[in-house]
Amino acid sequence: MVSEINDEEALTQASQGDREAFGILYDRYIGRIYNYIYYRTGNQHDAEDLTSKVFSRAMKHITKYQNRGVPFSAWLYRIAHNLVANWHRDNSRKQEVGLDDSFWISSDIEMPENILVRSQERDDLLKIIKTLPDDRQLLLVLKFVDHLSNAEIGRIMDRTEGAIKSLYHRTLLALREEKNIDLSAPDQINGPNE
Amino acid sequence: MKFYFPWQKKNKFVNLTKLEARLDAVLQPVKMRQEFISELRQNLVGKTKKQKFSIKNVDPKTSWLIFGGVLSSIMIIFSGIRAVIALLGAIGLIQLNKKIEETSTNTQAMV
Repeated sequence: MVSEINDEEALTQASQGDREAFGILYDRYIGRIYNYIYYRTGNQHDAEDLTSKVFSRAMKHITKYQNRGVPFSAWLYRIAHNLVANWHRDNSRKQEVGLDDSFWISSDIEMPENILVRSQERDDLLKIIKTLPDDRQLLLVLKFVDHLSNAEIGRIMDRTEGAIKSLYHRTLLALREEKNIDLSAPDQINGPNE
Repeated sequence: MKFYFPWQKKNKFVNLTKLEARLDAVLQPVKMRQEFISELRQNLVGKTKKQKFSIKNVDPKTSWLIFGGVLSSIMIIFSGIRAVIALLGAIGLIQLNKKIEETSTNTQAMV
C-alpha cells in the first residue's frame, strides 16, 4: 500500500515531484496543521485560508527541502507559525477565540444558561492562552489537541524532552499564577465535537 | 513567581492537575469541513483520493445499519412482487389460484 510508506520515503518521492506522495503527507498532517492554526486565529475562515497557504507553500518548496533529521511536521509547523505571525501583524483587530459555535456543540441536552456560562469560561481560557508566547501556545496545542508525547513535541520544536517538560510546567504555572485563572470553576467545559 | 511552603505544595499540585483537566476539556481537535479538505487536496495533488470501500473499515454500528437497510430492501421488494402478483391475479391476467381451487374441489368431491 502506498499510504503505508513512512514520512521520509513520502518526502523523498514528493521532493522528486511525485504529487501522490505529497498527497499522503497532506492527508497525514492537514488535521494537525489546521488545528494549530485554528487555535491561533480563532476562526474557521482564517484557519482554512492559512492552512491552504501552508500546504501550497510546502508544495512549492518541497523540492528544496533538505532532510536534516527534523521531522516534516516541524517544517510544516514552522511555515504555519510564520503565516500566523504575519496574519496577526496584518490583522490589528482582536478576534474572539472559538466562537464558531458550529464546532462547539454540546453532546448533552443542557439548560441554555449552563451552556452560556461554560462557553464564557471556555472563551476566557482560550483568550488567556492566546496571550501566551508562541512556543507555549504551540506546546499546548501539540500536547492537548494532538496528544503528542514530550519527546515528539521536542522533535517538532527542536528542543530536548527535558526542555519541553520544563516549558510545559512553566506554562501551567504561568497560566495559574500570572494569568490568575479561576480554578474554582467547574472542570467540565464542553469542547468542540470531533 | 509565588513562594510555596512545603505544606502548600500538595494544594499546588492539585491545582495544576485541575488546570490540566480544564485545558484538556477546552483544547480539543476541531472538525474540518470535508469540502475544504477535498478541494484543497484536488488543488494540490490534482485528484481526490479514491476511498476504497472495505468491510474491515466499516464500524459495527454502520455495518448493522447496512444490514438493516439490505434486509428491509429485500422485504420491500418481496412485498412489492407479492402485491403485483396479487393485483394481476385479481384482475384476471394470471390465474394463480385456479389450480389450487380445482384441486381443493376435487378432494372435497372425493370425500
